[in-house]
This record gives sequence, C-alpha cells and structure tokens, in this order.
Amino acid sequence: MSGVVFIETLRRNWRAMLIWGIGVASMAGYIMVVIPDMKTLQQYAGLIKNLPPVLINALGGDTASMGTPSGFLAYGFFGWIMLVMATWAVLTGLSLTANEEDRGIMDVLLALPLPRWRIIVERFLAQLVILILIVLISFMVLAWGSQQTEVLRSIPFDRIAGSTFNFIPATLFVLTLTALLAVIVRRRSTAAAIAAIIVIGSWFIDTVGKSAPSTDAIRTVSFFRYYDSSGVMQNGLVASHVIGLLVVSALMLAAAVWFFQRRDVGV
Amino acid sequence: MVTATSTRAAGRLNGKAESDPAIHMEGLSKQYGRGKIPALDSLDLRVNQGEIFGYLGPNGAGKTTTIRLLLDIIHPSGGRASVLGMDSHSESIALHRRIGFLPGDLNLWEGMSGRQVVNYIGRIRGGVNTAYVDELTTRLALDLSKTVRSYSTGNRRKLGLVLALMNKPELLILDEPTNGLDPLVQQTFHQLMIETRNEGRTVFLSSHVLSEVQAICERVAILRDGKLQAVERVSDLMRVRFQWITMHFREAIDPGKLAGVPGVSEVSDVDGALHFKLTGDFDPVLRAVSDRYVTSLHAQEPSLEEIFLTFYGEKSTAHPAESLKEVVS
Repeated sequence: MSGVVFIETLRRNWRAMLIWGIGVASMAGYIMVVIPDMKTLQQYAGLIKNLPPVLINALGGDTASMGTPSGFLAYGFFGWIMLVMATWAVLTGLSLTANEEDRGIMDVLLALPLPRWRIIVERFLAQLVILILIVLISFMVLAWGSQQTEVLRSIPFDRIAGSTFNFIPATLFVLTLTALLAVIVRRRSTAAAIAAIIVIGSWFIDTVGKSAPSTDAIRTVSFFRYYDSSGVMQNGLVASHVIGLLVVSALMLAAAVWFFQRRDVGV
Repeated sequence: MVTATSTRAAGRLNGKAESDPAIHMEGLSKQYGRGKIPALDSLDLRVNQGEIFGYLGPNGAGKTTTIRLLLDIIHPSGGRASVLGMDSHSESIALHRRIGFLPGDLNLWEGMSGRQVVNYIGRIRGGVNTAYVDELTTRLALDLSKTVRSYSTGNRRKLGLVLALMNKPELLILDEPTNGLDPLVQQTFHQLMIETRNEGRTVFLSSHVLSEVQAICERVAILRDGKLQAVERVSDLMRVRFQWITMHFREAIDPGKLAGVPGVSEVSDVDGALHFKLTGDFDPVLRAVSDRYVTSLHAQEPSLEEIFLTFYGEKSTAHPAESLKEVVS
C-alpha cells in the first residue's frame, strides 16, 4: 500500500526529529543569549581582524561582517551548524537502505509487494519532512530570539529565514550523497566513512579556498561554497546555489534508486 | 542434474494442472563474482502446487541462494525461475502478494513490538487479518506486546512464522523454519504446514533437519555445492524400510548365530550385544535366538541419509548415492 513506508519512517523518527530540532534550536538560542552589544561586537571584530584568515574562515566568518550582528550570527551559529546538520544527513542517508541491509532486515522488506524504489523514495520524503520540521523548530527559536535581543532586532527577518532554510539544500546534498554511496558500496561503515571524508574534505577545501583570492577557485568542488552562511546572511539566498544543490541531490537520489533497483541485496 | 515431478500432489490441487507448477526453475545459476565457484549451478527443479516440498542440503549448499533468487532479492547469473506462473524477476511485486517468506536468519526492527511489526508488514501487504493473526499467536504461544529486542530466538522465529503465514499466501517459502523452536512448537508448525497443504497451498521449505522433512514433506530435493543431486518422494524413500537392531543377551552370543536369517545383514558384536540391520519381519530373528535369554532389545529407525543410500543402492548406479552420504549429514 502506498505511503506505508513513509508513515512508518515518520512514526519511527519523530522523537529523533524533536531531539535534533531542539538541539539545533538550543545552539541557536545559546548564541543569541551570549551575543554582546554593538560596541563590544566592534571591539571583537577588531581583535579578530588580527587572526590568520584561515582560522577566521574555518569558523565561518569574515572580517568585514564580523562586527555586525548578522555577521556574528553567521559566524557564531550558521557557519558551523552545517557540520552538525551534515552529521544528521549522513546518519539519515544510511537509514534509507544501508542500516537494514547491514542488519539483514532488508530481505523481509524485499519479499513484500513493495518496489525497491518506493523504499528509498518514501523514506527520503519522510526524512525531508523531518528535516523541514527540524529547520522550522530552529527558525522559530531564531525568529523569536531575535526579537528578544536588542542587538539582533536590526537583522532583517528575511535574512534569518533565508539563512535557516539555507540548511535544507546542503543537508539534502549530504543525505543523498550518503544514500548513493551506501547503495554503491553496500557496507554501512564504508559508506559512512566515505561520506564523512567528503564532508570534512569539503569543509577543509572551502576554508583553504576562502583564505586567499588565488585559491578561491578550488571552492567550486566544495558544497560549503554553495551553502555560504555569511554570504546568505549578508545578501540573502542565491537561487543558483540553492537550485544547483537541489538538482544534484535529486540526481544522486535517482542514481541511488537506479543502482538499488538493479543490484543484488545483502551479499 | 536431476529433474523430477510428482503427479500425486498435483492430483489433490482442486483442479490446478500439473503443468502450472508452484515453482519452476530452468538452468537457474548464481555466481558471486567472476572466476568464483557458482553458488548455484544450472538448477532445474519443479515444485507442484499443493505440496510440501523439502529442500535439503548442508550449510553453503545453495539453499538460501535459491530462495533469494526466487524472491528477486538477488538476480540470477543464468537461467530463469517462475513462481506461481509468474516470472520471479519481472513480475516480482505482483508475485510477492502471493508469497509468504520466512528468512533463515530473521532480523527485524529491534525497537518495535511484535504487534507493530505485524501491523507494518500487514499494511504493506494491503491489510491485516487480525482474527487469523490472533489465532496464530495463540497457537504458537507468542506475545506480540513485547519488543523484538526482548524476544528469544524461538520467539523471533514464531514472529517470523506469523509474518509469513498471516496473509494465507498461496506459496510459503521457509528457510530453516524450525531453527530455535522447541519440540512442542515444532509440532504446531507441522500442523500448520499440513493445514496449509490441505487448503491446496504450497510450502517450499529448506532444512538440514532430516526428521522435519521426513515428518511433513511429500518430496525432497537434495542440494550439494550448488548442484541438485536428487529429487524424490519421501514416501518412496520410506518404502525402503529397515531397522537397526541391538539385542543384549545374558550370555555372550556368536554373531554367526544370525547367519542366514532372512532379512538380517551387517551383523556385528558390539560389547557383547548383537547389532544388525533388519529388513522385513522380526519373527525369524526371534526364532533364531529362541534358545538364548534376551535381556534387552533396541530398534532404531534409519536416518534419511541411510534411506537415500539404500534407495539409490537398490535403484541404479546412475544416482550419486555416495555423494549423498556427505550431503545429508
């Protein structure tokens, strides 16, 4: 019956969704609580200016915006939270097929009147709903918190919304990448390791690339380049980046379905 | 390569023709990687509708590979299989509506209760027959309120049986179904299988437990190293009846005493007792030793292995009887 796997995935993951949502929102709340006043922010920016660019970029900020409330939020929260979301995405990508294949549960599912593509697509759609809910929880906390802090009231509401929803394309990219790897390499631990290497490698490439104009070109291979937390906070979402990540994610999901449909399972 | 069919079972199938087998494999092969020994080598086998068919073989013989091919979990390297008249690969989804499956190594979602698993699988199948599920759980003495994590091996097996049986499928494919079940539940399982057959449905079960196959199967196939060695009716095999007899006497007795007694062969002296193979009636033996005091007598049924060996020994040398000795062990 259509939708059974979707509903079951939601049912099984609602607690995890709440935990992740509250966890991410708590981190957002924390940074809003500790955010200093404007004067301190500017002093802070002055100090940071003297740090090596690589270090500043590694923390997701840039010296020009660091002294502004939006820059501080991008630096203190949106910059590094993507790594947390990437962790969620890797774990979730494994749950589309690899967890059950590794544990030998997949045989039970595949002996049912259930096309293989539906296992992946319905689970993906359920996880997409969960991701949106996690992001919504974070957004609500950020939106509410920004109105409670005088220094953050100056940040346009659409920038907070854009920065928060900017999680979604990059997270989906990591999720579908992991799902595709799991379908190809067949082993959960191997897929997780490769996905982790790609995420950390992308972070590293993006950080190194940002540190000097001459190395900026290498950032094109990193998905963090298209996530660009400080850029989105300052200038809003870039449609081409969002669409690009979503298209690549859709292609990787389609490839995962294609491979899973054709290969032996559990060998 | 051995191919066989049974007309007996087909006659009981409420009009289902023998030409429409429950399972039909033609040259079915599976090789995991180039240059490796085939896990399954050109298997030709036909299982009729309405029979309980045993699929015997030692570990690694290719039983589970066959089952996974039939269910389209893995794809064949060669040949094809049709199940209930449908191609096992191209029509697998429609086919799975008509099949109940119990894997040999059953793993389920640890955090779910038995009831949740039943409901989940049932919903995928299009609905749950609650009354029948309750009947099955009562008969198998299974508590569905517990989580899978807390189930013993036997209870997991019972849950697997409920999942396989709950939609009353036309074909049951069971991989080592009684592994971990206690003898009482095994009896219930045997009854369930016989009921399934009596309803005209088919059971294909793999096993290395000879007594299980002997108790409920009509025909058996023997597999070894991915090759089909034999397919025979169990009833035909059982006609080759003999018993192993051990007789203890108050005083020592010369084994030659039984020489020439009709039906007696392979006489040996085991710690003062006479051990021999008896085919036929017991009376000639009793007459031959009537002047001696018998303190005890033990008769042992032959194993299926011995029956196979005897059966093929009597039939022809074309059958690889010797190889079966290794297979059915």
